[in-house]
Amino acid sequence: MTMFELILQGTGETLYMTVVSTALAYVLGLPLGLLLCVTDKGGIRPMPKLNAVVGVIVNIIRSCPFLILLVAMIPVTRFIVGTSIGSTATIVPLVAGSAPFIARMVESSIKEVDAGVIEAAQSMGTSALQLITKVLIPEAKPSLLIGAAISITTILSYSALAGFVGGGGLGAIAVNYGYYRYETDVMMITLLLLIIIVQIFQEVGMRIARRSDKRIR
Amino acid sequence: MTEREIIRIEDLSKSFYGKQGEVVALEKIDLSIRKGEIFGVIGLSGAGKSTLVRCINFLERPTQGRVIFDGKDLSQLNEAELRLARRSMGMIFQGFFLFAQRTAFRNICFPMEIAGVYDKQQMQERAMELLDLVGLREKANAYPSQLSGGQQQRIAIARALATNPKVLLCDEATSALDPTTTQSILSLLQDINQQIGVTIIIITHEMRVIEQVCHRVAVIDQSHIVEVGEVKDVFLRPQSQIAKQLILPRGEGVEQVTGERCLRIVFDGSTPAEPIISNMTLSCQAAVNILFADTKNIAGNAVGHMVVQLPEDETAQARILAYLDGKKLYYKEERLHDYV
Repeated sequence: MTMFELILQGTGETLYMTVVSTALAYVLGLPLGLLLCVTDKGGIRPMPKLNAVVGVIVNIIRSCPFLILLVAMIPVTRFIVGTSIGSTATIVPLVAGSAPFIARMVESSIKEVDAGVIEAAQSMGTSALQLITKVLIPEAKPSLLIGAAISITTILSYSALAGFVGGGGLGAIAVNYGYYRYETDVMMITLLLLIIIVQIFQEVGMRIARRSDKRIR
Repeated sequence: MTEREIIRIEDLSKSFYGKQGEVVALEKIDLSIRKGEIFGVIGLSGAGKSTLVRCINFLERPTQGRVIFDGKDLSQLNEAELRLARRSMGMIFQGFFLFAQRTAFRNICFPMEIAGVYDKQQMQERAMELLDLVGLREKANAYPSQLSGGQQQRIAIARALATNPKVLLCDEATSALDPTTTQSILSLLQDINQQIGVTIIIITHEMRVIEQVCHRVAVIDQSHIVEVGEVKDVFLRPQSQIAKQLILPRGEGVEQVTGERCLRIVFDGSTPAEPIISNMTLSCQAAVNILFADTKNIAGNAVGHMVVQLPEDETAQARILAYLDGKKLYYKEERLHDYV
């Protein structure tokens, strides 16, 4: 395999890990963030104890450095994927590590929705579930999209870190060729590619968010 | 509950429990709202009027007492039944609170989507009908950020009326608007009341809002209702200190506070052509000092009131009082600082 093919494959793996991990992390993080918001003391269904428990769990995972989490999760990853090496295996710790972060991002976006708007919806006889699906999420959509752009770039950088412990993608190439073999040019190319991918994700994400926001004339 | 009643509030109290302990927002409120009327609730800020309106649709659950709406005791309903009852009570707010990410049209559709009993075509027809009612058909596809405050409140009114509520609750609905826009929103509310017969409850701190559109008014002060009656009666013969203050606002007109005798003379439109004060000073041979005068349009009648300071001479005072009695004008001697 030529170096070009290697880097092309690495880019593909990085995109695969990032996109799939982000999607799965949102499957966990979005409901978790909504739960944090809804059960908060000023929320639509205050449940202080549940809120405190979920909050503490989220904070514990968030305070754990990602590299440690990567290693600590190897048994779990083996159990789920069958192996702890390669791109697919990396998705497991990526999702586990980023879902709590996403939950907090979602929480802060949802909390931006004007309390008066929520009250207005309640005055029309809106149920808690309708409030979430028809008011909170749609009204917070632009902010949620900005959060998603930030999350996906964070997950991308986490995925590169996974290269140290047998993960795939550009991170692994940078580690194996750039770090262990002192091939500085490979290191620079992977770095450049990572920068470009982050730029694209960030810019496209912000642009979609801006376009979806109807508050701006 | 009589047939003409739509809402009855019985012995309602509401307290909030915070860091400072118990804060009483409302205490022992009794009110009866009649079908089809425009009922005003006036009070200074902090009097408890916003809490009262939220207790009517149970956005705030009263600590004590009952709210009977259309024959149903709201405190006996479960969550789902309560949501159903709320669909019969529209509400508009000082801050409009439209959904920023929905067009005007889709804002109006929202309560119908929530109710889930309208098909798409019904919803569209009803929304267009409401846009016509509030005069904003051409703004159907505009987002709230593209609308002025008055237009946003019109859309909010249309949204509140979408599910054909029996009552429209207005919480300081014109307080964020300029005087001209306030006028147009008030006359819209009046039109809606006459056209579709919806009962309207207006919460405000502005007497002119009450004067212009309300049939009856309750004056609320420090968590209590201190006065209830026809707007004209309350205006002509305010009983409570707070009503007097609201009718003749502090700092308006009168600057000097004197210890001398003052009269508040009320002109209820029965002697429109006669120059009362001029004739009075001529026939009584006594001059009075006019401290305040104003005319208002209350429910279509021109009503005026004036505060005059009487001369020091006691016989002249007696002549003036006799003259006013002779003219059958309502007057009341007031302590000036009740008003200023």
